[in-house]
Amino acid sequence: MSDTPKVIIVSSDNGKFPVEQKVAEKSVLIKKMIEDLAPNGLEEDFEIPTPNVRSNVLKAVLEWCEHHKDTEFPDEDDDDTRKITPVDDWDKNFLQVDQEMLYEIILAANYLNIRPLLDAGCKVVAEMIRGKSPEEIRKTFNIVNDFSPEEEAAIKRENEWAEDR
Amino acid sequence: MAYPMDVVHWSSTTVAAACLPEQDVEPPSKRRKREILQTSTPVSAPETPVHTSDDNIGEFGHFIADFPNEIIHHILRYLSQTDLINLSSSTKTFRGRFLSLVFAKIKVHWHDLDAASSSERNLSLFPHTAYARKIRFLDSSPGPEWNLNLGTHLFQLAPSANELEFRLLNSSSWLKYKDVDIPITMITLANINQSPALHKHLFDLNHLRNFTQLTDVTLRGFNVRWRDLDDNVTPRVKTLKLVDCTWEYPFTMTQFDPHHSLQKLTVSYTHNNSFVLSERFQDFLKFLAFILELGKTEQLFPSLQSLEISFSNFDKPPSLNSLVFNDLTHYLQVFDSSTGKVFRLPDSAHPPVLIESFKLPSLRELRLLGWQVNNFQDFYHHHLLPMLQPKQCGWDPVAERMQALMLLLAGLDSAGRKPLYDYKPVKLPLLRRLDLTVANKVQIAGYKRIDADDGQFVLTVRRAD
Repeated sequence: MSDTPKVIIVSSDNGKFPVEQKVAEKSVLIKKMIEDLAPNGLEEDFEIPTPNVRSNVLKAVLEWCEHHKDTEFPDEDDDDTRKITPVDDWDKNFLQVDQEMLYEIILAANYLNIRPLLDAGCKVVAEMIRGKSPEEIRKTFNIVNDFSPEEEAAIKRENEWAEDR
Repeated sequence: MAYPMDVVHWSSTTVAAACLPEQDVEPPSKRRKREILQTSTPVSAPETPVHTSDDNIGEFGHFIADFPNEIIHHILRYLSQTDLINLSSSTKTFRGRFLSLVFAKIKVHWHDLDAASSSERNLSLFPHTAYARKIRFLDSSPGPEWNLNLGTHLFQLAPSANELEFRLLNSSSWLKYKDVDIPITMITLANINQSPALHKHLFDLNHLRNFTQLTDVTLRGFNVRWRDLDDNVTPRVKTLKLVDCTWEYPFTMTQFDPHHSLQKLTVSYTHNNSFVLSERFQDFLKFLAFILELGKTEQLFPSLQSLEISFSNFDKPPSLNSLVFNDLTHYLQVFDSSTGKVFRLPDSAHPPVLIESFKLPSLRELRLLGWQVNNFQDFYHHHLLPMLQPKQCGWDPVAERMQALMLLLAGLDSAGRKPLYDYKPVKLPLLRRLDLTVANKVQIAGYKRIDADDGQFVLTVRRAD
């Protein structure tokens, strides 16, 4: 096993994460890089820097890649299916992290082009907001209402024009 | 006068600074005006760290406000417009961040537009409409529909708009007389009249003659009528969606495509719409089923890349087996690659008759949703597979027919030279994706992907339940 060349992903703070090629290639960015730079396949360990992903975020992202290394995801351009597919339980659990971490995982998934992880992250964020009134949004997320009552009334009037379906 | 919505955004820091209470000395009305002014001009993001010290919006506020636009758009795909409006109404930071998105689509009543037109001042009643890309009319009102100078009003209200949606209680003929100064590219006409009287549902492509930039047309509940069109003024429609639409002889669907510009066609029916049983609809299906019509040379939907025919809420939807792909006569076509024409061999040994060029040569995606399939195994093996992949099925009707055909055609070259034509089956040469949703309960094994001759073909079969 140790003879198989690994992909070593390096975080912004220089943490090194050796993983199987298959796991690393869940990231389309990395997959394309390997295709371009080692068109004949990996002969030795292959280092890839990810200058804007911190160690603990990268570690989490790679845990996701490892778990899903054999998962077949719906087609990239099958927008409808992707939209209606609920976040699977493992992912939901996986994404139960603090908001800072979730924020960074989403950014990393976007940067590394890991579409299913990006989808799951964005769905989790959407679920935090879905179906809540402005007041409920403030309450849930400890946001101070910085509108005056007049402004609030004006906003209500303005919103009448906004498409709501 | 364009306000591209993606460049108009406030960074959280800008807004936070503008909204700190101690700086808040102006009366609210004035401030509101400034906000509107400010949001109309792109504000470049300052090079400060993404997190600000503003505690008003809390951790979650920063969390949302700091995402780059592409991620915000991704998140919003999973939220409704109402969610977006609510989010934008919870705090000034979000108001600034999402204003351009909230007002990218607006809804109006005809009387609003009428009222706004009566004086300059009233136009200010419409806030943020400069962001609007789409305007939906909530009602139908014969007076303003016929009399209002729609073009001027739209220009004043929403100069960046490119999409209109109308609800109509009657024919769409008034649209024919409207001059539109802003380049509308998408239009939706929904006829909500419950009466079966056809004249109340009348649509004619001529009605859209002044919308010269139109590329997307959606019609609901209309009866499409055909007249001779002036090709020069007909819009070049690329995407056409017909929902519960009917038509009368001699209209045929190709009349929507005089410029051969149509790329995407969706035809759908709901709630046991009886038009699907009519001869005109059956003819449309047969037409797609490649039954040949002799003596025609016109190209049929040469640019069409995506076709959807769907039924929803039907007790007994049309059967796929009996309608589409059941007639193998379409294999009796020979494509002459030098001229781009298709020949059909008649039953007897007469010379080939020139027929219409092959249908749907550009089709890449076919979606058949909500159909009834009586025997899926049979359908799969005897209709789908041969259609997609003639080489791999045990019984190869195509090869058999083609062989006979080639022999006959070869015989036509009496001088004994090489055959005149380059033979190849001409059925949907580019089709790479077929979505099929079956409405009734049939056994469907895991048919998912079939390899086409030159790459992967994706077949998705779902059961509607």
